[in-house]
Amino acid sequence: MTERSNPFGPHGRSDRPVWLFAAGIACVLFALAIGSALSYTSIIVAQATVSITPVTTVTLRGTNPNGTLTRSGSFTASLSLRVDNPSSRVLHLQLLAFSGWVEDGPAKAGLNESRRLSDDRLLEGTITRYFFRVFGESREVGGNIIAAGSAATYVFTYNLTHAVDANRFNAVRNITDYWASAVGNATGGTWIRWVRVHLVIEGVPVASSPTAAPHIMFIGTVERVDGINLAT
Amino acid sequence: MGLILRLRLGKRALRIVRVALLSTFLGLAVGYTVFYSVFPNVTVPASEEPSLALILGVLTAAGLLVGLMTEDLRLGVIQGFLSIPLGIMIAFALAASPVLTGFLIVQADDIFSFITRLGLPIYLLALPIYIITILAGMLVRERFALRSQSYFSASLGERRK
Repeated sequence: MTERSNPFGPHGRSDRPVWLFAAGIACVLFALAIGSALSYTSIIVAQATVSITPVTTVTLRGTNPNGTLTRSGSFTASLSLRVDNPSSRVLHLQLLAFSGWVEDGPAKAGLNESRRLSDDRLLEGTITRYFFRVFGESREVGGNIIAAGSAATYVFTYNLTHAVDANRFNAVRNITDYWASAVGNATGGTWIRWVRVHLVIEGVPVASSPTAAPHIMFIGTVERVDGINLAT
Repeated sequence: MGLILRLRLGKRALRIVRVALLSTFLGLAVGYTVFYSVFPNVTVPASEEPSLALILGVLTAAGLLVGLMTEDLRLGVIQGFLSIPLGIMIAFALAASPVLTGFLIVQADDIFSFITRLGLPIYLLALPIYIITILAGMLVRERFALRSQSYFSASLGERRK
């Protein structure tokens, strides 16, 4: 190339600025890749390390002197849910499913055949135990935040009265009456609970398209289950 | 004779280093876009679903830049081809990174097949994009008469003679 035909001189110009620019772009790309790996790792750590500790207490309100429920009383289950989050990600409690069963003494004793047939069963070797489902619901519990590297405890109450569900309340009254006469304590029957918690990892957008790959849809969530699910 | 041989070897080594650097740069772009396309909601920046504009943007920018720094078409094509296995390795390293924490208990070959299978559209897309953009970058390089440092050193040597 001659000097006249080349406006950039006889030998052209150095490509060093392009190399420097490319080095800058490479650094940005490298930083994005490392950031992505760290973000992915922190999500996997959150999914592996988050744990829940649910504690349930059952209370009868509006009782007779012998501790049995009156028609105007209420049966309350209080769920204290502790979420331990040792990861570096902030979590949001999103969905809570809770089921509670009480051992159906009258059904086992043959005092209530229809309920014995509809009860949930727990097989222990050759013995079948019958459980009446008192609560079984799931609810959205948005707004509860578990900060990174910390634990939080939330209390949820489940209330059953005659006004809420008359049939269920009457069954619970019947069962608690049985236990009061059988063991001297209305809440003396075996209580089984099952809890499922759905937590969302902050900063992980959830794919909204129904055609999105399953691993994209579930990577930003943590699910924990505790207890025995007797539901059939 | 020995001096000429040493100079040729030096030139060849420089060429190899150049090709390796540019291939790695292209591979980094492929690896990042593959990881982004497989896990768009955990990458930086995170999005609900992979954005085709971002993927094309990263691949095109990388290809153009490499074209601006590549001296001949043959090497440009070699770099484009080399970037694919390098991209697979980088995407695999990103996907396998949680293994280091001990919490992801997955077989390495499972991660590899996951990354290879789900990243296939990107690998197939990257090669023609790279070849076209490298060519475009080389045309720009010629248009602005960009020359490497070794070219200037060689021409200075010739002038001294």
